[in-house]
Amino acid sequence: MQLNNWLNRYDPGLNRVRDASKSILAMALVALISAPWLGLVATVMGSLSAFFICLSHEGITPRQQLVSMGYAAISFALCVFLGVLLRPTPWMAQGVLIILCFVAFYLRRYGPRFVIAPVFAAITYLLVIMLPPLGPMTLPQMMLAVVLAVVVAIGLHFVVWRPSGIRTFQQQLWSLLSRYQVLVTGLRQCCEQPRLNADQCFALKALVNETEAHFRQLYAHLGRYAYNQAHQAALHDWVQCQYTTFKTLQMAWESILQLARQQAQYAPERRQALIAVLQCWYDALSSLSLQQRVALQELALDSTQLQAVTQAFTQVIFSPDAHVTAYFVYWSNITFACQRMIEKLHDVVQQSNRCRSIRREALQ
Amino acid sequence: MKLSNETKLGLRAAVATLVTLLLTTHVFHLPRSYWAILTTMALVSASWGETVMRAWYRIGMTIVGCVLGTAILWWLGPNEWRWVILFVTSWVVVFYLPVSYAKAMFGLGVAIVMMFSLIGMWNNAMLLERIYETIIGAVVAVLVTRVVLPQQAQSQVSILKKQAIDAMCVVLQQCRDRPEHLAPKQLAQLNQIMVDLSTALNNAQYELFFIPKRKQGVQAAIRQLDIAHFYLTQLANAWQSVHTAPLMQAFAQLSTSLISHVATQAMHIAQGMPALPQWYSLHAATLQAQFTQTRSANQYSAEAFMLVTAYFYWLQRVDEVLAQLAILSNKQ
Repeated sequence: MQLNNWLNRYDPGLNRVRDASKSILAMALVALISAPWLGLVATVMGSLSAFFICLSHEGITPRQQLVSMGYAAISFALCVFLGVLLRPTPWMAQGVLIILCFVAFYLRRYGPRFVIAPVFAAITYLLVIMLPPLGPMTLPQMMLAVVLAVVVAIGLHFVVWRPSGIRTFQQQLWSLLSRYQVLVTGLRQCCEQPRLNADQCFALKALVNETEAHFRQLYAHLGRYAYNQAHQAALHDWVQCQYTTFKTLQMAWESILQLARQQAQYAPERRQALIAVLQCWYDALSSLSLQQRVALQELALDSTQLQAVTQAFTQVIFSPDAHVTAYFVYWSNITFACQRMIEKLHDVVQQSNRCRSIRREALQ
Repeated sequence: MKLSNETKLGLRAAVATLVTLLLTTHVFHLPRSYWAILTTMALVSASWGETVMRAWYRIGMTIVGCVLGTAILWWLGPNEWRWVILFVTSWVVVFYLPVSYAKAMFGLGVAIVMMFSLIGMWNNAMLLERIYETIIGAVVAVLVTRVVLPQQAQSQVSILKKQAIDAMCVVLQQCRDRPEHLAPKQLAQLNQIMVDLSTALNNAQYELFFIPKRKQGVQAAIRQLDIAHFYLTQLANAWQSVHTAPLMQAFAQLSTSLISHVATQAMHIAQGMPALPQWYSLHAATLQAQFTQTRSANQYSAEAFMLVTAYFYWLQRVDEVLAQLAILSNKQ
């Protein structure tokens, strides 16, 4: 369970776990099958090819992924063929390597499908022309190893461990909520402690940066998961909704930190009210797993904790000596965030449902 | 003729590979020159900053990974555990490559040691060889990326910073001109620019490693932009509620004055004109008086006050941040 939580925090949707496991498994399988028959060099090249092909599955639908893997397989076969053929003439082999390097990076202009695979193909070519010992006689063995690599990689990707596409994207979005959960826990700890803990602040800052990076990835790959224009717009709205939720949390974080620095004015009962609201957020976020997210409705209705914070704000604003000071606005920010947070989580759930219905229509 | 970014990248990669090939194969006659060439191919990136960052991690983590791998070999001896370590570290490479280049390179360092040990070739001489060949490859990649058709992350940051201010300007102008309706499209565009900006900034930090003052300036400017961004996001979300709040009528005049001021401020910054004095410094007393007067009327709820306070505070923060940005831009 703990491992699962850790993986979900660092790899939302478990995309990278799946990719890493598949490529290692492919490499091991090719090595096991080819070692007794094809010799050391062919085995090494076959294993590497399987490893690279497994990582070259760019695309949303299985068909697009198959095409990407097909391109990768053809380029690997071509590079191995060229490498074995040109190896006896070093100047020519090295000249072709330079051209291949240019082509590998130039091809990026044709989209994400041509980002990793061409560089891997150029690396394969480099290894073929430089690894000892190899002669033209080994060409059939090398080609056989590449064919085996293609069969194993495609088999693993499409038969044994099928790609999940849009489901992975959804998982990524939902797992953002577990990051928010960690952030809320950090905020609560900040409130509970009498003094600000520098390490804790640093860890929270790192988490905020990680989450920003996560959003970068989501925005970058949005188009890959859409079935049509309407679906893409809906996915975009969903990510936007999550982003706004994150920004609200960030604002609450900044205001809580600022308040914590003003120890003298930070009354214990207000602090307690805030801790209670944060606990409420935490519970709401805990219930937002894919299976249980309906429970949010019930949690959001329990607004007694929110009233306590609003009450604290009322005391601040209606006290006779109230001025529009920093303390005043931080409390206003926190109160605002407290009132909006659950509402925003509702929006997240609604956007998810909208995406699902558009997708269903697109598939029918 | 204007070359596309991909053509420039391709040319840089080809030149870097050629230089490394000539150095390692024809000048130094290194036995495993492919290590240096592979390093060069892996490090050539879209901007110089990114190449410097990756070179730094590549060299550091190759040393750490290979030394640790050799130590493990020395401790365990040549047994079957090497297979397990090889597969685990290879898994680590793929797992971390998209998110942490440093961790991936550490895994690669250990995996290389295990792989060569399994084919009976690893020794201390090879450890040294691996390290200096990596250094050669990394240095060539960094130099070539700096000299041949260079693309700097700093210039990307400047372009994106300007775009971000322009986008903020559009959002604020819309707030001023059509207060009843705030289009989410402009805000989404701003979000996208801010996301790109944080990536470019991450790379630019490494370019500015030896110019700490400039680095601090760029970081401070982006931090300010980030603050302005998250207040604008909140503002956009609360916009509808703010404008329908009954209390807002009491503050209508001040609100119009503030939003017009901030929109003009953003336009000034976007056009590189000097910043206006901050709104709050001019109107603090009026705002405070209005608050006291409205509160004593005792007819509005705390929620209504909260909304109006938040509205004024967020806009003031955006104003303040834009003014600070202007000062930072002038310094740079």
